[in-house]
Amino acid sequence: MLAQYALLIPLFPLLSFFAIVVLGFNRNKRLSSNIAIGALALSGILSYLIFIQAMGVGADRVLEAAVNGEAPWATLWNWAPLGTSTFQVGTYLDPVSILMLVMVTTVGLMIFIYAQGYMGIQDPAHTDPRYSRFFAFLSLFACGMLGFVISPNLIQALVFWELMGLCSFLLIGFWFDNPKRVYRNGRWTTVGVENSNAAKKAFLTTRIGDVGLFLGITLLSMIGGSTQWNVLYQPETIARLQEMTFFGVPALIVICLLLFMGAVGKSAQFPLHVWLPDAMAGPTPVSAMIHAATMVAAGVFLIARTYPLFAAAGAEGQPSVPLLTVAVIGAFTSVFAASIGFAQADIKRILAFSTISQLGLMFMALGTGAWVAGVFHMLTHAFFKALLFLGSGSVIHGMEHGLHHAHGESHAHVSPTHHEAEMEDAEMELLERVPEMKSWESEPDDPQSVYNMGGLRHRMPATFWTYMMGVLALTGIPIWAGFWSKDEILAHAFETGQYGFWLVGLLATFMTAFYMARQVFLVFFGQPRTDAATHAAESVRSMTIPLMVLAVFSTFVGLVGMPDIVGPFHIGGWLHHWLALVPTTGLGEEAVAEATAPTSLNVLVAGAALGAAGLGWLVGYLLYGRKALPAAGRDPLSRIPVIWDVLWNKYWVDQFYSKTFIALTMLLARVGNFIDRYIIDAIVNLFGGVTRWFSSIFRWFDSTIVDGAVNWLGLGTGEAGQWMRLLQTGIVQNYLLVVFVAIVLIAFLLRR
Amino acid sequence: MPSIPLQWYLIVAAALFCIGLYGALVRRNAVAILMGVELMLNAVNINLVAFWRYITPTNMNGQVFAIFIIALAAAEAAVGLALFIAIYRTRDTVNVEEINLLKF
Repeated sequence: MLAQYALLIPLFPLLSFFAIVVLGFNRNKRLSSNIAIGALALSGILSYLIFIQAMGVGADRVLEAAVNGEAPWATLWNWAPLGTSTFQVGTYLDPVSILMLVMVTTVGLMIFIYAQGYMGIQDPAHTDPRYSRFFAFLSLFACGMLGFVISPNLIQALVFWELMGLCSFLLIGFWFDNPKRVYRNGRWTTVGVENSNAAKKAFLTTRIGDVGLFLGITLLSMIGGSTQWNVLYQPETIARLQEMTFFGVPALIVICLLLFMGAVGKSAQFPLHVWLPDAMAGPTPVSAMIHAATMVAAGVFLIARTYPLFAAAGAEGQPSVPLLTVAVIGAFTSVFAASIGFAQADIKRILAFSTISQLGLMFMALGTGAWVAGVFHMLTHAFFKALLFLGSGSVIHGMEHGLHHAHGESHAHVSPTHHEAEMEDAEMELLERVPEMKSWESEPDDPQSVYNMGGLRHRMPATFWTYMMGVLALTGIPIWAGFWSKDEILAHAFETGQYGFWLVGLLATFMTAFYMARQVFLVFFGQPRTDAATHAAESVRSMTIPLMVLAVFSTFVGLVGMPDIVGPFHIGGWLHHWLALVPTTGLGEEAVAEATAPTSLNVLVAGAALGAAGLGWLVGYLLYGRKALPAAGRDPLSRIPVIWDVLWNKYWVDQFYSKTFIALTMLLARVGNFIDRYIIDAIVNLFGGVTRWFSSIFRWFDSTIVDGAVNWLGLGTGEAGQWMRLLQTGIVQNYLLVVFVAIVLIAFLLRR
Repeated sequence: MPSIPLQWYLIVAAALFCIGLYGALVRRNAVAILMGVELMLNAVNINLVAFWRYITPTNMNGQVFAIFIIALAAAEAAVGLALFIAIYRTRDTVNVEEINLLKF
């Protein structure tokens, strides 16, 4: 029985972090990355063993034990008394968290292995100078995600959640010394530091959501009395929560909306999505690890975890308000972000918007009640999106290589974006004379712009083929993972009569297929459009092997959730049986019966989804594939006047925020600055001045009166001594006379 | 009771004390000063004996005191003369006005 050792799973990466940072293994770069990989591999082995053990026990038995707080599936230790109950920490393993452990460790391990090559360990002269630190941060991040997954309560989950927030800040800003050049007032100027700005943006934006999450947790523990899953999942707790109100509103609605706010921030959903594309400034393994595969999935996982609360928030016969909110936000975001993906030039930004869009689909699934489908899509998406990000990193590496080849080997290659920092003055002057660029143009040296690529399938075959596996999975082509999970979402929306959401899902499917077709045709097909693309080279083995492993997963992992096609033989539907009972925990028998109903392939829905994807591919092929974009050619989409501008500027959301919220914040800051400087400081200065004035009086008193008295006493004593010593004549008879006179005097005084 | 009253003895003793005191205060010669001191001591002795005889004849206190003082005077004279001889040897004088080193 290994489940009671689940605590070790997040502990190994944490120990690796401490080993690298504290114990000084960072002196040896290869050793530090080996430690990180080894630690995560240990976690992965343990996760798989626990998974196998859980399969032996059976999902329903595991879930029952976890909900009832029985060891080893729920291992709880008392931490602090909390009112009438006790706050407990520990590990909580139910079917969904075990599945998450397996997914996170697998994807994470591939990313760790890939990161060695990406950070340049194969070439000691060009290894990233902060290589060891990178692996330390990655390990700490893995600890955060694994700890979050197995947290037995919301408070412990929040701790790891924030740990992930910290790590994303550290990793997005990993190249914090990388400056950003902008074209302003007719010349290129360096403003701020792009990566550190992106890191700050990510941290602050998710912080807005985290405030909501924190309030939700506070309210839940205040009203519900506990944040432990095994308490919350009891039917009586749910029933008690349903009775309660908060300022006249059902308390569950408030709690769920606040919890969802946290998920919106972490998973980059519509109002708070702005940080994720900017976060692409970080190294590509970070993009894969944090911003595609795992951390953004934490928001989905949070909603999946608290799903019984969401489901219970609705009154009899009415849809639950929080669930509807989740579905609407998710549906809107899935289309909204996908449309922005049409008009992006940066290969990673396209994927970033794709991630936002796919996360929106997951939220839509959860919101429409397709709990298993949502978790399923999170699972498959983690694999293929990690693959796509790592593949794009490989492409960028290849382009970097081609760029240096084209420029000669004079540039020291440190990292993809360090190149800009090392741009020489002559080049800067050259750039100053470049007129303002159109939105469909890109800097000739930008290794991330798809307009600079083309024809890379010949130069980078391994990257191309693995990338294609990811693209097919993402666009929902049958057999590949994305098809099954996305179809599940659409089928559920269709079968439960939520046709609006179904149509939105179809639209998102079409758009996804289109922007991915655009990306693939621009990057891999046609002819190279720059020297860099002509001389691009395949990446090293340590980068392509993880790609291949992930490609295999992206292809086949969907089969675990394949619907029950063959009917009586029950070949498919494994995932549904595995997860069936989880969303209905605490909701009563009716919900259980509904959840465990067998799923089958809906041919109409699957056909429609496939048709939408095929249409997307077709449009993409017609625009970008049939006639390849020539060098310095204009993107066909950019000929559409208004829409292109809207999409290129990402609906001006960033500009809107900077004009409103950020401007307001800056105004508040200025007002605060004014108040601080001229009112608070004035009061402080006044007190200071008065105190000084008093102290000057006291100083005078002290130095004149007190010191004067002391000095006067000393001087007086000295003076008296000077005078009195004259009495000492040395003539004995004088003394004798004095003695005589004194005796006479005393005798006179003592007379009777 | 003797026919001579006590006051007479006291007057003689006071006169003797004054003579001794005068000598001790004004004489320059150290030996003369020592003599003055002797006179004062003996004046005191007269007083003691006189008081004993006239006031407490049954007790021997006055006589004993007188004997003590005589012994003390002898010792004092011996020490004093020894000191003066030592001073004379180093300073070649016994004039007290010249022996004034212990001063400001």
